[in-house]
Amino acid sequence: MERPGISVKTGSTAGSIKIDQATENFIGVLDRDHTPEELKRAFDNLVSVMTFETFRKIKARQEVIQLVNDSAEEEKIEEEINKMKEDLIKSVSEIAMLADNYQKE
Amino acid sequence: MADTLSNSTAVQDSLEVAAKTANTTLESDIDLPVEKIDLDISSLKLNIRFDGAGHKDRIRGAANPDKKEQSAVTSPKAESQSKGDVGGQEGKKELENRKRQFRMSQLADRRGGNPNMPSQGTAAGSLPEDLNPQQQSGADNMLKGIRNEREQPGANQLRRKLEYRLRNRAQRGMAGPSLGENNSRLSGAGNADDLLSNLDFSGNEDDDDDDSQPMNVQESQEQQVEERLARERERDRQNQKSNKDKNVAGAGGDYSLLQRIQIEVNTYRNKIKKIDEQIAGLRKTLILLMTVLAAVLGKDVLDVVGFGLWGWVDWLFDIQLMLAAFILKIEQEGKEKIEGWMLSLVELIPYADVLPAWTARVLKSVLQRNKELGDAVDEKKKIQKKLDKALKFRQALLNLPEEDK
Repeated sequence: MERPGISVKTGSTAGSIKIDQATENFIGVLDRDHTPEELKRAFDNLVSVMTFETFRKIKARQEVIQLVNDSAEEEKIEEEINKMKEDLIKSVSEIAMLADNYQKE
Repeated sequence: MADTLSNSTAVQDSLEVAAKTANTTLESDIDLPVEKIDLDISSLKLNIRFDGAGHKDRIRGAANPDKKEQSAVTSPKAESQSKGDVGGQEGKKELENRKRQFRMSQLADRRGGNPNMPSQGTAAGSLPEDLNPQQQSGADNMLKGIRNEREQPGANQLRRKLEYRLRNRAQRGMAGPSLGENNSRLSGAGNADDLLSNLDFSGNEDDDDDDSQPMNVQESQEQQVEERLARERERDRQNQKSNKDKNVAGAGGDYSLLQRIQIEVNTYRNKIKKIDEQIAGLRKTLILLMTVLAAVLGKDVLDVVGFGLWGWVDWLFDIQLMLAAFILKIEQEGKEKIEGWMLSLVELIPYADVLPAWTARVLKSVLQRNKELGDAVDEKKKIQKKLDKALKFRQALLNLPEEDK
């Protein structure tokens, strides 16, 4: 079953490599003299990679939900999805705060 | 937006754009409630545990903008309030002023009231108090708070990765000129050392002077990362090849595997449900059969004791028992039925009715049902084990990074 849009490069191991690269890039920008635009771009890139990874996992769970015939389990997976979304938002907020704090210090 | 990332609008915008892009790439329609971001930022501050008392106050101040001073990290409530009061550039300026004012007042608190006085016991050119390892404050406290938080799956791992990277970068900065020379915000020569001790996970603050060991650690870490990346690329190539062979493209293979597992899980669940119903039925039947067994045992005892005396009355009992056997469906299969009814017919034969035919028939049925019940329970256990395995596998597939699937 082919899923256009998810190539091996973007959906597979490259996912974790991309996160590494985005994190590296973001910290690199934080460390050196940077313009606000540069920092924002690096932050956006990191957020984008994190969101993609989270959404990929959420999509997998949604596909499972479609086949689940147990309502309790369906609810459990939905809770897990909501938790992942909240977790993502919280993580991004934390990273932003962490970065701001790092800059200030 | 100046260079402040931790303002709710900036985070919201970044997440919205990222969500749209991810949805387009994945061809999905996942809704990310970015409008909740205000709440999340405020709850985040309350959730983080801080070691230093001063920072608790600061965070409390951030959570409740009406109390005391403005937070160092902008509170969303305060932000929206300021946005409501003054619009656009004026609002931002005011926000920045408030932040600066708060920081100044914080420094003043620490230095004994005068914001312009240098802090006591702090040598010129050394780090500010926030970055001093003994004070455990500033970014270190925030990192500690995050570390102390309960382990959470998913995106939190990424946050921890960033935290780890920050620490590594601080280590590298110690060896290279980039951090000390280029970053004018961090004053003094020993910045990287202090940063390292601040951001250190081990909590060991005595190894600041050891220069050679962190270098070795750094080299080995870099080597490990390179090796890992090489391994991942190799695995990626192999996956690509195997996916081509299987005519399964990209992540589609993983999803279909998940679907297959889910179908298996559903099958096992259905089987368990049927077995449960069967067990419940068998238990009810067994209770009824035990009652019938008690009745027929009494009747057969009377048959033996009252030999020849109550033959015609016995027939009345026999007819009732036959009706009961028919209604209760004591025997299930054809062969069993024939055997059962043959035994009952023995009761109709004169002088042969003293034989405990009914007891034999019902007892045989009870033993049969009991065996069936045991088999059903065993079968349920087996399927339950398979179901547990499938569920574990499914959970592992959902949680593992994609390269490990």
